[in-house]
Amino acid sequence: MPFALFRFATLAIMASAVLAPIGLIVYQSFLDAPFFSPNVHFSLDAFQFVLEDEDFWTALSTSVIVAAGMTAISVPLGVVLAFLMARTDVPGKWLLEPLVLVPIFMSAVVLAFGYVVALGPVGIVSTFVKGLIGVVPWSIYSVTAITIIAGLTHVPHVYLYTSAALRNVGADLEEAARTTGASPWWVAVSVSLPMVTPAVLYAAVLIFFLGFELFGLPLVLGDPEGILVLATYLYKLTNKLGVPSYQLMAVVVVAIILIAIPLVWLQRVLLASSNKYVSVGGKAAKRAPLKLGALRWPAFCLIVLWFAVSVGLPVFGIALRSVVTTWGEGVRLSEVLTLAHYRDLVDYPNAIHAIVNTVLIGTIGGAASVACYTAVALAMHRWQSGMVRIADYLVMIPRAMPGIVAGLAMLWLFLFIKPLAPFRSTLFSVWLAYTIVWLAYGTRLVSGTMLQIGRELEEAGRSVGGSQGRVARDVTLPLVRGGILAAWLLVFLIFVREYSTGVYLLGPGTEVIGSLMVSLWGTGAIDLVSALSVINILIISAGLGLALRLGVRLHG
Amino acid sequence: MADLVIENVKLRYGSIDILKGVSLSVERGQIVALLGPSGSGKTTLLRCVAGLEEPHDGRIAIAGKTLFDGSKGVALAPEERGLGLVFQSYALWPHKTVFANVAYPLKLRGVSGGDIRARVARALDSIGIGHLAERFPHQLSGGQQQRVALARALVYEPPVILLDEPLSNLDAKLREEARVWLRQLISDLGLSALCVTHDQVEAMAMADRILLLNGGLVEQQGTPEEMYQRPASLFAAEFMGANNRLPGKAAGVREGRASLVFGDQRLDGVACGPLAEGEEAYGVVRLERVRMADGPGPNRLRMALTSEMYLGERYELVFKRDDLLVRTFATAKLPGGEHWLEFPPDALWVAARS
Amino acid sequence: MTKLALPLALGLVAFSAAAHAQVPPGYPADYAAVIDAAKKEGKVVVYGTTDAAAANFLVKDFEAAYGIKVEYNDLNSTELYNRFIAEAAAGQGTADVTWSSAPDLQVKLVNDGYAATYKSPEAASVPSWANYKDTAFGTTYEAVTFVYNKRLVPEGDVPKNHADLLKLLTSKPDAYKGKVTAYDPERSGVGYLFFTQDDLAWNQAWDLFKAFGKTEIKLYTSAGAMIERVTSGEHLIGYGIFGSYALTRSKKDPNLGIVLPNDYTLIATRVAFLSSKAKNPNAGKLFLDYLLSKRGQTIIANEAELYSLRDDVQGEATVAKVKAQVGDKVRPIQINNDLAGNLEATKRLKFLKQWQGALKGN
Repeated sequence: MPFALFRFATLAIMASAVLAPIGLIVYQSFLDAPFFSPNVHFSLDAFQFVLEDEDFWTALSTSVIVAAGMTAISVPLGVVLAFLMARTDVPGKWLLEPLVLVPIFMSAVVLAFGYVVALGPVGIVSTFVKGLIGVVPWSIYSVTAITIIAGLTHVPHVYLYTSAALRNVGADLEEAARTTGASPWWVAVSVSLPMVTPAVLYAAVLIFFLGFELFGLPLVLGDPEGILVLATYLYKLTNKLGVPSYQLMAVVVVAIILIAIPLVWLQRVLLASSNKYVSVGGKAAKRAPLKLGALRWPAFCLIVLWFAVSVGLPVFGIALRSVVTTWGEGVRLSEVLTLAHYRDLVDYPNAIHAIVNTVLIGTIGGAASVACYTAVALAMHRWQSGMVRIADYLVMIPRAMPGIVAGLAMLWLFLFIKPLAPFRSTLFSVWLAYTIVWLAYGTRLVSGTMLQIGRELEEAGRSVGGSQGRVARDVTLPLVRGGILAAWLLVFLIFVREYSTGVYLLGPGTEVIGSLMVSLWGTGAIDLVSALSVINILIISAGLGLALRLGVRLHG
Repeated sequence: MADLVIENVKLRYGSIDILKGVSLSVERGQIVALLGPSGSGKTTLLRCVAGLEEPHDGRIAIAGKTLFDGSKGVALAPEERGLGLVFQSYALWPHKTVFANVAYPLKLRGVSGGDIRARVARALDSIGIGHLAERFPHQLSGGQQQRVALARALVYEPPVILLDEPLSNLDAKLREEARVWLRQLISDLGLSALCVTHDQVEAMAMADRILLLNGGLVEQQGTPEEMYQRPASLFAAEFMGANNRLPGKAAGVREGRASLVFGDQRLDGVACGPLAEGEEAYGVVRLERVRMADGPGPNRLRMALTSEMYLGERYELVFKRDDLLVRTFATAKLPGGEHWLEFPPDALWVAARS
Repeated sequence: MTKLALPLALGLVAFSAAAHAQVPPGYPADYAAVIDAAKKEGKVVVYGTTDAAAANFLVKDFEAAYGIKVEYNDLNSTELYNRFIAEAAAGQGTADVTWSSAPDLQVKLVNDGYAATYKSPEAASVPSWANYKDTAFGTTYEAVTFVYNKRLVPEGDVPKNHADLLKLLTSKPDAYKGKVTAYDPERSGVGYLFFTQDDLAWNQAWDLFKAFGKTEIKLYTSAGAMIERVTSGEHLIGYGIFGSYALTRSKKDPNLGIVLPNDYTLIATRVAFLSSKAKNPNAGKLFLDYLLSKRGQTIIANEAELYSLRDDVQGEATVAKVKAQVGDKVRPIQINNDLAGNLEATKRLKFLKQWQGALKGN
């Protein structure tokens, strides 16, 4: 098949996979009833309602505050973390390197509930502190707490982008600064940091955007005080009117898309300017790490402290909850220990099934998704064309749909597009939904590693007589094998924690852990939820451990 | 017959013109060097020939077969051009062994396994790296990598080979050896070659003809001797060798001759490029053409010796007179103080300051 | 071996079923035709809000009784509604029976023509308040309760009824500040339903709501979040909790106390109907009848612990057990057209505005 045909076919399939759900949502926003109902008219009432709804503006402003706040927290921390890990002799790197990424893979609802058990008003840590000083000096049910926790848990995103950029800064540039008399720290601030600024800003824009789709944290931590963000506002909107009003939900999604578009534009500008800074392969790949000296252990402690707060505490909370019958003020934990929740879980109908499905979707589904992302990345790879610019926006747009809307849109697709109908109640539909929603993430992962291949290696293939397709197969793909494996691992980890996208597509036989958790949460079976969460965390850890053992490198 | 013909090729990045209409031809068995400073468009031109860049106008043909024709909308893909290209970075595929790197073009051409082994072995042996076949590129030295890159580009016997700064990644000593070896190899194989370089010595040593590019246009082309001895412009004169540059005014411009006047001095020379009487001009003279003289005379200046550098086979001397600095060579050490220097009229080019 | 055994086993089931299509006692004789047709359909698709663990007791027993496979989909009430109407509109397979704890949405679906009218042979055993136009039927008898933390709420403070609670909150506002929790009527359909029923049942309801505001009540969207926080002591009293959830939890955790208010106890019920778009209408009828039957209700009472609706069912979670605590003070939420009125946006927004006002003390 000629490469041009592959290119157009891939992008056409990608575009329709993205535009179908988005188009449906945008269309829905201009109607006065569900698009499939017999009496439906064009109307702008939905826009009017949402724009006049006080709650919308409250939720929007809270979202802006949370997004900005978490960006302000995660960016500096992520940069410091990346610098410590990529450039210094901080101890225990082999251990910290996989650990620092863990917050990305934790389900936000699980994390949030873990915080309630650990740091809530009667949480384990809180009661301990209260015993010492008489009061609990924090409240986790506040916009501030949501912002801080979201900030801490998004540090790995910044870390990933910044450390990749730091590794690309030629050692000679830093060494040049050293020879002119700059101290290591001054080099870091005056040479390395400016060089990676575009990457850092790029990550900052991403975090800011992720702030708008935050759902799990505000759902659990915002519940008691009724704090609304855009994604949880959707829930309230549904209920306020009694019956779900798809046109109103669609309007909110349109609003999020409108926020996303300038952000994607900004990212493209930053990416273009970051290319200016790429210093082409200095020979001195090996460089001596900066000696931290007396600061070695304090730096280590800083990382461990961050990890303890953003992962350790909530995981401790959830794990503890899974082995006690009750907890809280006035409970002696030693008297309430039990393994009954895990036993109950084994008996729970479909629990084992759900665990198996989750692993299947993560491994086999993850591999299939990465294959799709690789195809899309290849199609866009080194193509000077306006199509690529459009495709860049397209891959990002599915992220603008909060999970519950994405799930609904996917159901509609499988219902109203006849060729898809037979797949509706199979794991395939769930897989397709996941693949579309995580398109931006997965494609960026793969295309990022493709860009690291020297352009000349591919040109050499062309000049000796290889067609574009052959060169892609024989040169590009073998060279990004490591990156693709890493992408598979990351996608596995994400799919294992995902659920909301598939919520309407799941049925008997296609349950996943996430959907079980949500339904158990609703009926108050927190015992089982926490036991399931622990199992989910174990699966994630096993996947991560196995992959690292097999030599998959998470970053370059 | 011309093997490679390039006619009026133009290329633009955004609003910047990189190539403003370049033409050249390479005869069969010839080596042509594309010489020029960085930014002159020489690598871009090479990439246009290879098909890695697409000009917006012009025509490129090989042995009568059109590779690119802007007016007819013909633009063959790189793999359809059948050229050999050696990259500056060598671009060896890190995931393939030396053997696999060299065998790949043959595999693409559907050569059978046995033939591949034989032809790769022959190619590797002919350039003296037959024993490295099973190594990976990162296990090779720079010189070895260069030979592998060459073997890969030659193994399928392309009619024309393109070389992008083939020697720039080698250290100085190796470079001189490689230059001789490369020239020999190309002429032994009866190939035509187009070679990009920024080093005029390399260009003169390797090429049958040199094309000097400046700002996307051909400044001058000719044999190495013509280029070195009869530069057509100040740029060519200055680019092709190590020079002294004397500022002054042009005088007595006529029939290809001109004089340089500065202060109360007058030096006769050859007019280089368009020149008007009384125009601000430079006199340009190669270092090795400045002669020590025993006393005053025409075209001679009295200058003070300021420093002396020992280069092994000779000395390099620096003379000064007011603001004027002149460098030259001598076979023996010179006593300090003032000396007479002669600028032979046929070696002094007078060119307008543009 | 499985290749051979499976059709064989299916054949056997089909054969034995055909041979013994027995009509349950008290059913009309022509019911045998329904059973036979249902067996031909082979399966029934059910969308329910009851969690899979509880529902599974019924599913297993039904499958054992008829050899008909139940595809049970566990969804929340909004998801159920969304999925059902979209699938019905697409004309593709959807639920044969929906079984939801949101009676208002179910009534709306009936009014919108999504349900099939069905004269169930069990209809006589269903109380009239739980029978909507012989189309939708209540299936459970779930008291809406108060829950409290036994460790931390002094015996004397435990409210026995709504009036007690009002008194407690007005007399000890500081002790209970931020310590009472309920469903948020603005964000949860169940919450809206319960509070509007309180408004109908009790003339001091708005005083209670105002007291909630003064004590800074914490409002949630899920029972899990509320029960968990009451047992942990973060909150002390939960208002308007499904008795079935509370009962299940209290068995595991003795710290959870349950009160059925003795001035009036709202009774909620899970409403089931047969879809007018059912692909397996006979199997659907069979399952609906089973839910209402003595056999099904006995499972509901003793294994699923959702409280049986029928007077003639013995066991742990039964009407009798509820009445033993509050006598005739039970106040079932009527399954009628008023519930659909709850879903009218203007009416709803008006109530919610009043509610907001009450919380602010107006």
